[in-house]
Amino acid sequence: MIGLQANRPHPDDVVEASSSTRAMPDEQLDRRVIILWQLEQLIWLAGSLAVLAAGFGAVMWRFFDWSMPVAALPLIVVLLITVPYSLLEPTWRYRSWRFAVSDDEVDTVSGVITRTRRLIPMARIQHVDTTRGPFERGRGLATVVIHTAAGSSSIPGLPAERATSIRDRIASLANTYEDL
Amino acid sequence: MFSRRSDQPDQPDQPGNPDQGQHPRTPPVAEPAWYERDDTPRQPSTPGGEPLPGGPWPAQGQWHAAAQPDPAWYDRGDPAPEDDDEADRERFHPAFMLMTMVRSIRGFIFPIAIALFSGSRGEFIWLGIAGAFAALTVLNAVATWWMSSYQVTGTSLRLRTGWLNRQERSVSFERIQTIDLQEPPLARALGVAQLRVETAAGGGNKADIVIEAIAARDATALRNELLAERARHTSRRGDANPTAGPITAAGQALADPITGSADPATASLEPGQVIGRLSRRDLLIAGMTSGRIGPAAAILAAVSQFGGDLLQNVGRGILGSRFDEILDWGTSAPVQGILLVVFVLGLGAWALSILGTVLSFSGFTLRRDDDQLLVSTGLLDRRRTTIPLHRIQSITVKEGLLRQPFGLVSVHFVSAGYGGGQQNPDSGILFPLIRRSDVAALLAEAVPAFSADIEAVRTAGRRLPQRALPRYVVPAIAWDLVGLAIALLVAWRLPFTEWWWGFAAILIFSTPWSWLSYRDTRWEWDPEDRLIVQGRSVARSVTIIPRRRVQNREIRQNWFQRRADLATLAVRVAGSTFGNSVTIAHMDAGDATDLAGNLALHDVPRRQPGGRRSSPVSDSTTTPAAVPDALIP
Repeated sequence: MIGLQANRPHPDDVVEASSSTRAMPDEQLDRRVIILWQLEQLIWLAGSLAVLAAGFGAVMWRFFDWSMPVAALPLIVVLLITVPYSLLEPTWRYRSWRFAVSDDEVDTVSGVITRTRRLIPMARIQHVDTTRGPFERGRGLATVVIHTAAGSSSIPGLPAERATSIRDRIASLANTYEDL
Repeated sequence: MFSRRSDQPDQPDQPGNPDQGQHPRTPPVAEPAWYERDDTPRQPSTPGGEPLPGGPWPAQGQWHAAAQPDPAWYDRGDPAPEDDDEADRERFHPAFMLMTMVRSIRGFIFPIAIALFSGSRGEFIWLGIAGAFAALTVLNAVATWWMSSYQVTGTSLRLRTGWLNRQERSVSFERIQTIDLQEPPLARALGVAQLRVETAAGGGNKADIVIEAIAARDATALRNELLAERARHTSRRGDANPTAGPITAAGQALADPITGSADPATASLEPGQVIGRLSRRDLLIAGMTSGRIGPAAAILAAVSQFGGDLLQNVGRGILGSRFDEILDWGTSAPVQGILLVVFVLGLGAWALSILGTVLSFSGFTLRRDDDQLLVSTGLLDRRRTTIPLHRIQSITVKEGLLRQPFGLVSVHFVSAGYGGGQQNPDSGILFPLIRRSDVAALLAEAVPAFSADIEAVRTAGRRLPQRALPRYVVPAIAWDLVGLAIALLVAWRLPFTEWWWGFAAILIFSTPWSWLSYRDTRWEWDPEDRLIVQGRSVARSVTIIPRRRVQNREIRQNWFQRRADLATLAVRVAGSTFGNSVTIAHMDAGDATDLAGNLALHDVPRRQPGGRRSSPVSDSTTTPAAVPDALIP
């Protein structure tokens, strides 16, 4: 069996290649991407929910005579749940990510709760980009975005040089095929 | 004649070329590589076809002036220079002016209305503004018409539009993907059509070239000319039908049900062999059984919400005092009242859906001309679409809820680079209504690459394992319980407990439904390298995807599936419209990976080094060793 193995206790074990024709991809992302994702999660998830909870608390305290500790309760609960989640989830996500660029296909595995393995034939790739957001630039990381006629998929959190070399490799491989 | 772009097909050094103006029929080997090709033939002074400063067109007013400047030296003595810039240029049909005026008035209708009703003072000013607006509208229409033109050159279709912002665009014949002819009601009343040309690059909602108004008869002729040119300029044929010979039935004896009544000449101009027509009886059946009832019911519900008073008045007008009796009965017995409202809404939605189907598919005709399909359809807004066979990515046979008991289906396609699909789901319809037993024949005739026995997958296709059943049924029950909880809450807070029935109905239906979709999920790996999948969301459908059309495959596995060794396989084809993917949920994980492995593209021909095209059919003459290895590092 070559796919997503069943009954695995830990995502890391998925790396094990089976005896089949197509091995699971084995390359991992750069560890530094964890901090990046943690930052993103803290800002977008924890931050936005905290603002909502604080706003709710403020309204309740001001207009509905809730006492200060009670009004602060939603904010505390939100922070207690989202901050640990924001710190942990990127680690799980990082552990779940594997990818491989062979001569024929780009093979990615990702996802914490739903593990998704995506196979993109080189012959179907139309063009390939590298993108670097402000956070990524700060940490020397880059994302490879692969475009096909059915949409795009990306490999995030790569060291900038690795991203460039993957991009160039995919571009040169994809270019050798006859389009159908 | 400064900067005029010549359209001579790259042979200005042959003064007496007898082929002048003809299109060079070169074998595929000699076709220029992608980087050598260009939309417009090159001219030494304008590398890359960039217009020289001063614009690619001559000074205003010179185009159609009879004063044609001296022809170039190589043109002299040629009796009819076919590719001449001036001679072939055609303006739009004069009806375009009227259409433009109507369009701009429509755009300004609110300002005009406000101006008219905004009070009495300063009427003179308003009159002046209205006059100026009218003058501008007319000026704009006339100027746009005067300055817009299209032209068929030796290698491309060229369009010039606009008078303030001049635009010139040309699409070379081989890049043409689809050609649509559309006749919106106003255009049709004026006897003109719209011709829309799309390339693969378009993809979006806008066609690449739109000839806004062209006489209906000329439109068909131009379309046929463009199709012929495209066929001539494309060395590579669709791999869909290697065996099918050219079918040319220019003299169609049958009268076209759409065009036939209005213009018999147009009907005979339609190329290709008729594969199927939708009869009036089938059209009505299609309307009565169509799945449009949902949207139509939503519209009706919205209308009844906002126009309740109006509806009451209409009801009184029709039924008289009996309407109030019904209303009283309805309010005194709420359950029956709701049932009555549902029934009336359903009836109205049904009527609307029949009307919608008749408008869309009246006179639906499917033709095939060699390697392309021609679809013509529509009652008020007529459209004629061409679809190259090799652009078709997948075929889906859908059995609507109301159609399944009668053995009726509709056949849909997904085509790459067809922008029409995004706005209008009807445009992806290969045939709106057909008996299930006739599907095989239709596919064999229309799209041979997809001709498969869909009954086989139903009876002999592989099924999901028993342990997948809970994955279908348990979520359905869970959602029902959530719904029930909400219903309880509502019933507890509100006195209006009759809604209970609705939620109970959902509970009754959705669980057996999930069982149906478990039972109906089947797939088959075809000996001809195709994946055939049957599934059910609401309607049951069978999708055929050839392996070589697959863009990517995805195997998904969540925690529950991992425990049961199940996985979900999703296969995508080109086309960003909805319906470009087929999913088999909760199949055996081993089967999923095997299937994903089967769908690998291991045999796509590699492009010859140096960028030469190699066709799987005719590449024996190219010698890769002779060409320097430039592209592969």
